[in-house]
Amino acid sequence: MIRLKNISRWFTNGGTRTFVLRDIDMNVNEGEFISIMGPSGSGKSTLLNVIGMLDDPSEGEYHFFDDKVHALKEKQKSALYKRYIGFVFQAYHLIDELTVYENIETPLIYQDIKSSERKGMVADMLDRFQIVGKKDLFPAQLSGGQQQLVGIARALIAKPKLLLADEPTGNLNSKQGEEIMELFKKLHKEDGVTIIQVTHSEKNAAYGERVINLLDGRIN
Amino acid sequence: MLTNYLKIAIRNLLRYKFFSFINIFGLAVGIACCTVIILFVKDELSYDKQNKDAGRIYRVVKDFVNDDGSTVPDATTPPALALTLQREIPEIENVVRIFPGWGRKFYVQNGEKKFLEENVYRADSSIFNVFTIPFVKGNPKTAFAQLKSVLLTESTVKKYFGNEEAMGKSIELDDMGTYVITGIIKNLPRTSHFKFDFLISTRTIRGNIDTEWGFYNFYTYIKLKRNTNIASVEPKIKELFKKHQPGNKNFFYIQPLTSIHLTSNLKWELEPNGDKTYVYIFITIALFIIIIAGINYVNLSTARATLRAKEIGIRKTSGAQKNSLIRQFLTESVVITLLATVAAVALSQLILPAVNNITHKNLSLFSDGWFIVYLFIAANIVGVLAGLYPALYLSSFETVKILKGVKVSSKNNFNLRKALVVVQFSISIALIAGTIIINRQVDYVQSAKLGFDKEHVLIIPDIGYLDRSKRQALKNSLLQIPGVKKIAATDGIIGGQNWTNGIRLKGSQNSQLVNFLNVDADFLDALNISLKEGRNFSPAFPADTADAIILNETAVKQLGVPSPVVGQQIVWAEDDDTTYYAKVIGVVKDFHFTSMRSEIKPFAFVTDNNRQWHFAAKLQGKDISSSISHIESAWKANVSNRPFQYYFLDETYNKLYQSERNFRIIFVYITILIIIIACLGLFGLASFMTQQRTKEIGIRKVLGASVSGIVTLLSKDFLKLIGIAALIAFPVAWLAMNKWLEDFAYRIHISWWIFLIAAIISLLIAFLTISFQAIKAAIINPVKSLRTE
Repeated sequence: MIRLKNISRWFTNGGTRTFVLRDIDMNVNEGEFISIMGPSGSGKSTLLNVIGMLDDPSEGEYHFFDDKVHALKEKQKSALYKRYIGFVFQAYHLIDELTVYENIETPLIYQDIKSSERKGMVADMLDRFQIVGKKDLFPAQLSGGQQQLVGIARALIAKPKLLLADEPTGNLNSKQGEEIMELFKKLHKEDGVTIIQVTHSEKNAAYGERVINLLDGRIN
Repeated sequence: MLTNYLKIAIRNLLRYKFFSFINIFGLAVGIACCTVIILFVKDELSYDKQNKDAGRIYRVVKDFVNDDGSTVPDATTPPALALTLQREIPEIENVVRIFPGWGRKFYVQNGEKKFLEENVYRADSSIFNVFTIPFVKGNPKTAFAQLKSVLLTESTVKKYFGNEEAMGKSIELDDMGTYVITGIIKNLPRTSHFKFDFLISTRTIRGNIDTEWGFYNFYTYIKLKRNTNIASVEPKIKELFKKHQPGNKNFFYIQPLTSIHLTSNLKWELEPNGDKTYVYIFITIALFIIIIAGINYVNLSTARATLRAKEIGIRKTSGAQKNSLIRQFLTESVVITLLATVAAVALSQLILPAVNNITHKNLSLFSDGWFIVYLFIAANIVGVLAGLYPALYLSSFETVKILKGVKVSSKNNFNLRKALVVVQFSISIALIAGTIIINRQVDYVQSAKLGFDKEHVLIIPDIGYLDRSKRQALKNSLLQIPGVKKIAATDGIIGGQNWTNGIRLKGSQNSQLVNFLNVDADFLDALNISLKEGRNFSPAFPADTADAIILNETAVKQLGVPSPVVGQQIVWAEDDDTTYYAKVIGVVKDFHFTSMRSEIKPFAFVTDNNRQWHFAAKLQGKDISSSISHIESAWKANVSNRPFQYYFLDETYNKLYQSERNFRIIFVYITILIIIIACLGLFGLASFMTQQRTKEIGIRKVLGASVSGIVTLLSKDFLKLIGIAALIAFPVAWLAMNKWLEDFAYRIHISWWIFLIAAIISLLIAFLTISFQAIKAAIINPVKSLRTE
């Protein structure tokens, strides 16, 4: 599904290059559950952003199914992204002015899905995550765990093939964290969603089938 | 998708109530202000357009040409002109002569209903073919079939007949006798350059006016045939006059009917004209206001960008493309403009009565149903334009940076905001300087020494109807009143109406148009006009009434009267073989008998006991009102058949500057409004900038910065901008105001300190605006502000 070849990402600062990622080679097959681990500043999030097409590598090739992502135009990338990828953030990143329902609905709006269809899809999702009762609340009225549930629901609403999660439990207490990880496991097992998560915790990493360790921008 | 945008827009408005208020209120004030200005300009531009064939109607006017080549533009024409034009120029479809009341007040009576009427006009019956004058009753063909017919406007009918039928009834028109009402016409619109209440036929004027070339008391209008080029007609009019009046140098030309109100401004206009300059000034100001209000919007939206950054990032990771984000932010700005427009309509409704009061207009948002529609369309265009930059800017944020929490701060943007603040304050400072200058000039013209006393001079009109002995009796009994110092008779009013005549020195060919008043021997004393040499008129010299003339200094100079001036002969008039002379008996010092817009012109006094239309009563003592009531009783004792009227000479004088005073008031209001809008923007911006620097302020305080130090830190940048704005505003204001002052022959000097004051005022206002936020931020406990990070 994903093939990274010699991916590097650097910043130029006063003439010197600071490498964040260096010569990353990596393959991800459809249906895998991968955990990326490493200390702070090792490049975990950057790698996830590159995979998620939010950031462009400075060098190297990125193949997503049959597309050469490194050669695509912004519009094409955006279309690809819309179709295949869902993102979950550590800080949830919900839109404060929208209700739970509307937050989950947002990706569908950008995919030009009809209003009646959207209703059904959002209702399914609310039901599945058991947050129907919260649908008219605003993010500020929810606990952290609930907000992250909404964040995941939103990431999954458009039925992505790939779910990217950047420390999804980082802001949660251990019980809430556990629930989220169980949910990931279930998604992976039952729906066959490919998941790549970045995490600090060995325990969470263990949910994955494969762990990739990063140190100073290289795969260890 | 649209509902989603709208939802976000409205929730954002509600969440940031303060910014929403500044945004909407600022825009609303701007739009309201523009709306009122547009209504005003539209009204000024609509004069005489009620006439169906307005495009083919022209007024023939002339320049009176002095022998030295100097000219006096004047709207009047002799009555023979119109008929000759009709006869000899085939392109002309129709002509009409209009003869107004020339200030005379007619005592009109219908039984017990008696009023003094000024707007009694006479016209040829072709007036109905030239102008569009709709009849309510009667018809144009038969209206003037009988000589003693009169047409009344609807409101005049109401005044004299109430709800009774007026057609066919008769009405007394002063000493002209009984007239039959043969038609009722709609009231002339306010935007007509002349308005009459009574219309009678020119045939009621005595004498054969159709061949009269010397009697410049008529207004001539022509209507061209369709598809005729006026350029080919105008020279023919000049030739025609030359052919019929070979010796006369007067220069005839034509004015399109619809341009009379704004561009004519000749001597003897039928009603005071508007002024094109003011229309331009107001259009410019309206543009300024919209620009300033739009700038506020751009400034506040981009400044608040960081607040929206997260949302933008999330939307982008949810698959939003730049286009859809741009659409979203444009929707928001349209929502804000719509709300602002609704508020603006309400605001305009509040302001309009006051504006109508000042401008004597009847402006309304709803007189034309489409206006509101256009208003909303225009407001939305402004909304989209103002929203475009913020939309482009916001939608271009990079997702990764935003979501990583990197502060979205762009140097370019801050520079743009600075530039916009400079623009706003340049305009504000220029307007403040303008206000001060206008204020000083208007004060100057109103309080300048005129060369005579206009205070405590009571004008009692209408004494021309009394015969000489009765007039004398009235004068004597008025002089008995202790509050009356002097009574003088005159046939015109200084600052109001006087007459003119072309005269020359005997033996010279230099003929000049001179303004005249016919006065009695007490007039110069009553108004305290000082004699420079020679003597005043005097009953001791009975021959004065035949040929004595008193000139002002300018007349002496322009006629080239050699010294000794007293005793020189003036050629008064020439008939075929007779020359009438007048003898100079005195010279008065120059005095301002018209507005300070124009220079003092030649003026002269003559004395003729038969031409006495008004008394000028110089009052003394404190109790003016008791003097007036004594005068009224004296009038009633001496005059049985006419009501007592009076007004003060300084009122007449004040009217000369009515338009300047109006301009001053409106200018002051607009300046205040613009400053308010600019300050709203500055306030919002300052409060936002301060919020942005909360952490910095906290750190500085921990390191020992004082409150005043932090206030200075936060204000400094903005105050620098005001300084730059002042430098831009000064030359612009100086040039513009000099141009305005050029309209005045007598004007103030623009001193440098006016600009200094304007700059200081705006600095103070700006500082007050900013310091509110700055002080708030400076006194906050740093522990609190640092914890928020």
